[in-house]
Amino acid sequence: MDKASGGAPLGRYGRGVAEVLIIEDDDRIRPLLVRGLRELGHTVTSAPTGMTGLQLAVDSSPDLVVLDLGLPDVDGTQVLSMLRAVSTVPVIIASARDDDPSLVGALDSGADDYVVKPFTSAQLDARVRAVLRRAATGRERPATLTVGGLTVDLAGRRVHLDGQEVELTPREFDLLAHLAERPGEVVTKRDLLVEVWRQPWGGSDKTVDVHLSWLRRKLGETAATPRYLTTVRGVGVRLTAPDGDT
Amino acid sequence: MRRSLLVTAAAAISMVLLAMLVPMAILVRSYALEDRLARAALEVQAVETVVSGQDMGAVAVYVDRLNDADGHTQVTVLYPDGDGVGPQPGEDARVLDARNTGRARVDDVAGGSQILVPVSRGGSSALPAQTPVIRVVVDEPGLTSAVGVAWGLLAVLGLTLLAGSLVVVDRLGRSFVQPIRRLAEHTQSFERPGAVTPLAAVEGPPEVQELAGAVARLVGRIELLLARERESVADLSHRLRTPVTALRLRVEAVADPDLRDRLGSDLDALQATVDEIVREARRSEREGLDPRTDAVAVLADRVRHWAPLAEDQGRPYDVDLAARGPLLRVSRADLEALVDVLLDNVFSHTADTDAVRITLTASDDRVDLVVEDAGPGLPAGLDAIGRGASGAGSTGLGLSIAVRTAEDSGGEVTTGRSDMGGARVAVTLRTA
Repeated sequence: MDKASGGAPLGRYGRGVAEVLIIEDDDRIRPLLVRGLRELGHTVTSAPTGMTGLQLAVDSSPDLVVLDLGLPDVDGTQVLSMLRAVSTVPVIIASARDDDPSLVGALDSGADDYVVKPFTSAQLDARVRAVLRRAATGRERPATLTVGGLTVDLAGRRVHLDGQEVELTPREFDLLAHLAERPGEVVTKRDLLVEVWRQPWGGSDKTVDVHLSWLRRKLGETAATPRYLTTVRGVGVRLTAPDGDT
Repeated sequence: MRRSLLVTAAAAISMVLLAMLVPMAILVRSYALEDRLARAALEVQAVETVVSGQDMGAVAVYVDRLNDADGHTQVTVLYPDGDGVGPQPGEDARVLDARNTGRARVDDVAGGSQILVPVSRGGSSALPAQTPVIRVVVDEPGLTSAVGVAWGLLAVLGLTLLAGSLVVVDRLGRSFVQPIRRLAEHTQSFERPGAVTPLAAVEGPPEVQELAGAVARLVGRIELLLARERESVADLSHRLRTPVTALRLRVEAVADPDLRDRLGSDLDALQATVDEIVREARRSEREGLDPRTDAVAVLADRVRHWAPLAEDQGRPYDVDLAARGPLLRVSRADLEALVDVLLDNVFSHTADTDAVRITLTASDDRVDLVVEDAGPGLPAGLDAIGRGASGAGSTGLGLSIAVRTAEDSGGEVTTGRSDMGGARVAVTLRTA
């Protein structure tokens, strides 16, 4: 295991240092991740096995753990369960497993986020900061998001528009929830593919477009007469309250 | 199977019952006729006494009384001079024969039998001209007689035996069929993706229990193989994606932005290939053991899925979708991916206002999906359906997904120019 410190802090979890523990058995990826995150300002500790990583997590109390599922000694899900028994440290699963059972199982076991290989240090850093921001404000996610007359119940996965429930598919709900978490912010289709579809590579903008079109229909608007969903041509899409709504 | 068993058993039991009951019915009728003949013989003896000792008038009174008393026999006395007593007087060859030979005879006649008894009134030297003949006609027992009642009882007995036998056969058949049906339902559950439920204990004949045991062992083996396949795919995913991750991280660290972009682009293609390999390796996990999908319903739903985007773009979206079609051995996910690839290409590579036309037709053994557009068409010389080729220039695997789905079903994908001016992609899916 090694420990290396990066540059000076630039703000608590805004764009700055955090103590990150990487539990990853692959000798090619581990040093590259350590270096990449270090260059992005984090203090990085790493461990090649589940048990050493668990020991390090208990001893050094990092701000966040990046955990691979395919470890040589103990499965990453078990490491997560053991870690959750003694610590509430945020955990991001970084795994090549992209099947639903693995993803759901990891999140149910207490993971805070899940990133599928391959990924870059920058993508992992973005996840690290997002998870730490949530942890710093002492909340996982708000239970309900409100944008104008639109209410998104994240826990119950229900949406109401002006008091009327809107039936959405799971993907449409995830898409709307992602936009509702960033009201007024233009979100690129690439970001949506990464965050909602979990396709950091490949994927088609048209896949996003067709789901946005369905979402518009269900919110009672069209691309020509937008209310909540506004397309910024060449950039992305933005969710805002219609004029007059708060 | 149960119905076949019942029909077969009904036929066999009916034949046995007919073989038994029909001779019995004939026998009953014969006994009844013999009984009537025996009683008629007694009457003949009495009439003979009267005829030999009394005048014709007394004989007539006696015969009329006999005929009135018994409806089944008709007694007639035929005198040699042509006179007669009783109904239907008149002589025929048989009467003459009896008179001339002096011998009694019994003959079958229409509707029964007749007894002819010559009465000698002059001792052994009496001439035929002095010999009256007593004719007793005995009616055959009919349905209104006791024979009819006997036949009715036989019919009721036969039907009761038949019904009882069929009930027994049905219960026996059910004991065979129900375990087999449960077994069949269990095996049909293999068609659905997901975990195979264990087979509950099967009751029934030993052969069926043996078959259930064999199926359970087969299921166990299949589950083991599927588990190994899942592990293998997970391992494959890990082994392929881990080095790609390392490459991503190394490329990210390249200082030269041009070189980093070029390497990144190459990695995108490699990544798409890896994803495709993993996706293909997961095919059986995704499809289940025996995928059967209402292809027309799935394709039509997916075509409609893209309609709102066309509407938002102001793009004419002309669809002609068959109402129903055959079940195909293709997974829902692959069919949806097929439509997504074709329409994604249209929406990505044509102007927003270029029209698109989608035609879905189906027959008993095939489903045809044709996507045409009014865009610029496929680039000349492009092998769009070749594996690894793509007009998109992004993943490099666009139409190959459609080609593989079509070819796996025994169908094909063809490309060409549409009469709308743009590209035409036709996908044929077959039932076998």
